[in-house]
Amino acid sequence: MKNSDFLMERICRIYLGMYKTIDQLPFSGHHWLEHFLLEVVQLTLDDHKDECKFKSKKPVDICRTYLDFLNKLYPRWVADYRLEKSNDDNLLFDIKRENCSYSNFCLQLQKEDLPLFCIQLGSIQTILKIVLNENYSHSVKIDETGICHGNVLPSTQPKEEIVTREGHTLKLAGRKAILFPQEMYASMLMSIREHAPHALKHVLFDAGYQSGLHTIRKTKALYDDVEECLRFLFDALTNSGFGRVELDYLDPTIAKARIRCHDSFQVAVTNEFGQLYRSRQVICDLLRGVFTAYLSVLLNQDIICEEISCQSVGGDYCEFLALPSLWEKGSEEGARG
Amino acid sequence: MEIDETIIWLSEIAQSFGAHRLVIDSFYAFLSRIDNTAVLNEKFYNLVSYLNRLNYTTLLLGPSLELSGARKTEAIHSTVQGSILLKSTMMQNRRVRQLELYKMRGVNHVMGNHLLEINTSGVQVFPRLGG
Amino acid sequence: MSKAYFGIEGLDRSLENGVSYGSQIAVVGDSGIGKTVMAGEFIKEGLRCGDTCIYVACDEPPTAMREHLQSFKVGTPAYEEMGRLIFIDAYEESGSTEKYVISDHRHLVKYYALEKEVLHSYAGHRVRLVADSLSTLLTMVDTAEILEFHRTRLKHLRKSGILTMDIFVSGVLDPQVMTITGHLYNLILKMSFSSSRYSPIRQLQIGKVKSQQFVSSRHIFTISPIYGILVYADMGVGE
Repeated sequence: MKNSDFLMERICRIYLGMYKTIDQLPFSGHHWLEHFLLEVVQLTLDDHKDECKFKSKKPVDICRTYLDFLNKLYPRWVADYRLEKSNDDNLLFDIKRENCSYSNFCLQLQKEDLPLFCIQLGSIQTILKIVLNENYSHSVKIDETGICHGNVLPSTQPKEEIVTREGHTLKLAGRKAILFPQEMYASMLMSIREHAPHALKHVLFDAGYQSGLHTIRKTKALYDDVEECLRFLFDALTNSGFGRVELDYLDPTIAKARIRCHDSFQVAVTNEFGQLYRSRQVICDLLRGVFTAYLSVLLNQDIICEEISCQSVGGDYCEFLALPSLWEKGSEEGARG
Repeated sequence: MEIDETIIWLSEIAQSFGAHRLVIDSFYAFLSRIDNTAVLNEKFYNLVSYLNRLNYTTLLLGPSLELSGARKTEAIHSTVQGSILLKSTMMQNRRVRQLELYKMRGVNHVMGNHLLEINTSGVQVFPRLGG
Repeated sequence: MSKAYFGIEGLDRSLENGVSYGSQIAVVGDSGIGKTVMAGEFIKEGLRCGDTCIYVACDEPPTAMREHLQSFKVGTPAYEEMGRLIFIDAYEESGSTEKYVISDHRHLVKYYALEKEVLHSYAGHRVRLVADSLSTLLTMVDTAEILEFHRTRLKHLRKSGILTMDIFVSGVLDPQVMTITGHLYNLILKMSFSSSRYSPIRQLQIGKVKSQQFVSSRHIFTISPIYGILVYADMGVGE
C-alpha cells in the first residue's frame, strides 16, 4: 500500500469514527460534521491564501474555483466530476465513486446501513457558506453504475440544536446559551412553588408559550408543510432533552393534533425532586405552552392544547390534545360571581 | 253482542296471533251498559279471571274512574293486579300530567304523584323525590 | 382513596387534608362575589387531576363557563372531546344546542332525573359535579319540595362518590331553608363583601358543621384575571 493510500484510508476512518460518535452527542445530528468541515475548509483556505481567489459570486463558479484549487493542491483529488446549475438554482454534482477520495468512508456507511453523508458535498456547501455567508444543505444518491448524484441547495432547515463555544461563551444556534443540570432547573421550580405556588403552572405554561412563539416564528418560513415543520421542531425538542416528542396525529383541516412525549424531562425532575402540586395531576405545562404556540402559529388560529395524560400520574407517556379555541381574544370578561 | 261473547271473541282473535299482551281501549265501553252494581262486579270479575286463565298481561284503559262513579271504582281496583291513575292538574298556571301507582299487588311501589310527560320518545315518568 | 382539592392555594392549605370524593360542598355568596370563579377553579383542578367534571349552568349559558375556563388557558374543547368535561344547560329552556338540557325548570324531579342519567353514564369515573347556582333552580319550588329534593339528591350523590359543589346565591332562598340545607353539606364556603372605608373587601369563610355547630375560619381573597382566586391563608380577619 502506498503511503498516500494508507493516509487516505486513515482519514476516512477518522471521518467514520466521528460520524458514528456524533450521533451519540446531544445538540448534534450531522450538523456537527458540517461544523467540523467548516473548520477544515477554512484552515485549508487560510493555509493557501493566495492560491484560491473567488472572483465570481455565482455558486457554480465558487464551487468550480474551489474544486480546481483542490485538484491543483493534490492532483485528481476530485477527479472527473460534473458540476452544473439546475433549473431551480440548485447545484448538481456527479462523480464516479471510485474517483472520490472519500469512497472508503462512503462504502463503509452503506455497509453499516448508516445514513449517507457526502464529505465532498459537505465541503462544497461549506465553501458556499464561507464565500456567500449563506446556508446550504445537500442530498446524494448513488446509482447502480456507482455514480454519485449530488444536489446542493439553499438550506431551509435551521440548525437550532448546534451548541458551540466561542471562548468562554456558549452558543446555541448562534445565540448565547447556558447549560445547567436538572438540580438547577428543579431548584427554580421548587423556589417558585415556595414563593408563589399559585403562579407555578401559569409560569411554566407561559414560559413554554413565549419560547415556543420565538422558535416557531423563525421556523415557519422555512417549511411549506405543517407536519414537516412540526416533526422538525419535535426532533429539536427531543435533541434538547425535553423527552422523546412525537406527532401522533394531525389534521390541519380541523386544526386538531395529538402529541406524545415519552420520558418527559419535567416528569423525571418531579419524580426525583418532589411533587409540584398538592394533588397528583398533569404537570407538563411547559411543553403544553410550547405546543400551543407552535400550533397556533402554524395553523394560523387560536389553538389550545391540553395534557390529557401524564407519566407523572401513571400514564405510559404524556399525551397532549390540541384543538381550536372557542374563545376569541378580547372577549374576556371580568370575574363573575 | 253480549259482553261475555265479546270477550270470548276478542280472546280468540288474540290467541290466533299468539299474543301475550292485550290492551282493551277502553273497557268502559263494555261496562257502561251495566247499571246493576252486582252484575257489573260479576262481569268484571269474569273478565279478569278469563284473561288470567289465558295468561295474558292485559292493560285495561278507561276514563277517569272517579268521574264514572265510586261504586264502579271499588270493584275494579279490588279485582285487578294493579291500578295506574293518570291525572291532569294545574300547577303554577300550567297544566301538568301526573301518574299515580294507586295499587300494585305484591310490589312496594312509590306512592304519590309522579310527573308524566309525553314527548317524542313516548311517555316519560319522573319518579317523585323522597322515600 | 385520594383526597380532592380546590386548586386554590390558600384555601387548600386551610383544608389540610383536602376533601373526600363523595363529599358535598355548599358555596354561599353575594352576587358578584366570585362564586362562578370558585366553580371554575374547582373544575380546573379536577380536570388536571383526571376527574370527569360536570357543570350545571343555571344562571348563564354553558358557553359562559367555557369562555371563562379558556380565559385561564384551559383547553375545554380537548376535555369535552375526551368526555371529561360535560355541561348541563339549565339556563336555556328552549333552543339550546347542548347535549344535556333541562327544558323545564319548574320540576325538580326532571332535574334530578337528568343529573342521575348523566352521572350514571360516568359511573366508575371520579366525578366532580358543580351546580351553578342551584338556588336558581329552587326559586319556583315550595319549601317541602326543596328539602325533599336536597335529602334525596345529596344522599344519592354521597352514595355514588360524587364530589359535589352546589352554589347558592345569598338571599335567594328562605333563611330557614338555607339553615336546614346547610346541615346536609360536609363543607360550607361563605363568600361575602365586608365593608371597608375605601373599597369592599372579599371574604371567604370556610365552615364545617360539626356537632350541630358551625365552625369556621375567615380569609380575605381577591380575584386575579390570570391566577383566579387568591386566598390569603395567613391573613385571617378574625372569627
